[in-house]
Amino acid sequence: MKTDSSRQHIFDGLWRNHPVLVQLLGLSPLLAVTTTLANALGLGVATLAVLIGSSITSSILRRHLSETLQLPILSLLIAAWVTAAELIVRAYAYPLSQELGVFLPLIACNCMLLDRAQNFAIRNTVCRATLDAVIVGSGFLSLMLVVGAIRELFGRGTLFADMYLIFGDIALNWVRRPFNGDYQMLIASMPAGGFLLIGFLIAIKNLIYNRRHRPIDVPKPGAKRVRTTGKII
Amino acid sequence: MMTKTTTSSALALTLAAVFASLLIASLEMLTRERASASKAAAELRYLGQVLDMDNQPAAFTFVSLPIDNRYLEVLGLGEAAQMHIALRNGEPYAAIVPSVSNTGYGGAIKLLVGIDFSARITAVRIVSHRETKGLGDKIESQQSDWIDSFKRRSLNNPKPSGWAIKADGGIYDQFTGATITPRAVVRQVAATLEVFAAARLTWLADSAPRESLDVEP
Ligand SMILES: Cc1cc2nc3c(=O)[nH]c(=O)nc-3n(C[C@H](O)[C@H](O)[C@H](O)COP(=O)(O)O)c2cc1C
Repeated sequence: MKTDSSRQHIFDGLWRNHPVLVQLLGLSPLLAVTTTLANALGLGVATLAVLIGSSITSSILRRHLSETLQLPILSLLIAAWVTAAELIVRAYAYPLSQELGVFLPLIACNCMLLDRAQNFAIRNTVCRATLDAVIVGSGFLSLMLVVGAIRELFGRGTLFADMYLIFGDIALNWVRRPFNGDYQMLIASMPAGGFLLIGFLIAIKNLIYNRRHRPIDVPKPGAKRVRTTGKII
Repeated sequence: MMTKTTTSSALALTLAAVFASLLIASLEMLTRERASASKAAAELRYLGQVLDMDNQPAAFTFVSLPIDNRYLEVLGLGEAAQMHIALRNGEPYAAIVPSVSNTGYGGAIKLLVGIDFSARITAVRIVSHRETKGLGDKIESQQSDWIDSFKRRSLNNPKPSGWAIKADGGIYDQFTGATITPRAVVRQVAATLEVFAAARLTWLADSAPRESLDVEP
């Protein structure tokens, strides 16, 4: 995973090198909490914020990181930002913190954070590290939103239910029921349904991507990471 | 060279640690007040769901009391737990009792039962359960209004024989293909009412304002 300084690559996190669709990072929160759009929004924004914070601080310290201390220092920074995010969510969206439960502190274990800190932030200026965090984090957030919306729509027949967890009482009647009557497709709200949906989204992404880019990207044999759906650039 | 990198990374580790502590400590201080207010509001919402608050949540305050050990088993509570007395304009209005059924299909069904001091149920809500989706989950208030069939019921209304699901000769509906879950809930609500009947006077006395205790020594 070399750092490419050309302009065009910094936007890769949104599509070509998407943290989830290509690198399969952060699957656990993605599958666990995206049963509703509200949960997905909450965890997605929290992850984005933590990523921005950890990228900035990692980049600031980049000249002082020796090989041996790099991992503990980056982990410490990530853990600090996650704790900060948890404190803020607990103060300003207490019901959401109850709903997300352990998955809020578990953001610290999202490999996407360490990946960006280790493979980008500590090799780039603060500016570029911030931009990269915003882009990769938005890529993650937008996928969370897509998955959350689809699972909520099919699993519970609603959209925007539970938004009061984040926005308080004004959001109590935001809920929409696009289908007539009672509608539930159980598998959509279960983890298995989440897995299937991600699979389909990856397939669709590859279909579109491979149509536009020939020759098709094939993972290099002997590549460092195997759990990928395309070439990690 | 060696010492230079060592000093440099020791500096980085120190900086990171100081930064982490400062960030967390200052945020903790800044959000402390707000966090406890949010928590109190959430508690009010949680306890309020089994009360009929007439859109006057401000009129209600809560007193928490430990539940006497002899009731814990009937209430399905493994360890020491608290119940809450809702005071309306300072007067004891209802008891809010946590209660757990262990006879459900998928494990413990946690309930919150509100009972006013004329011994009638204000409401029952499911706090958590692991019943099968699509079968047993109709006990949730979001899924159906079955749980509201307990409203205003008491130990004499219906008669004791009526405190069962229809399949067992009682008055409460069961669900198609799922009788275990509603049977478990009905039994546990009845058991909670019995505990209330036994503990009512103690709870009333304990929730009354104790002026003598409030005086500074
Ligand atoms: C996979 C599976 C899950 C079930 N989940 C529940 C459940 O959550 N609640 C329930 O009351 N019954 C559940 N049942 C059905 C019960 O086993 C039982 O058949 C049902 O309550 C009907 O009881 P009855 O024969 O007394 O009418 C489930 C059955 C199966 C096969």
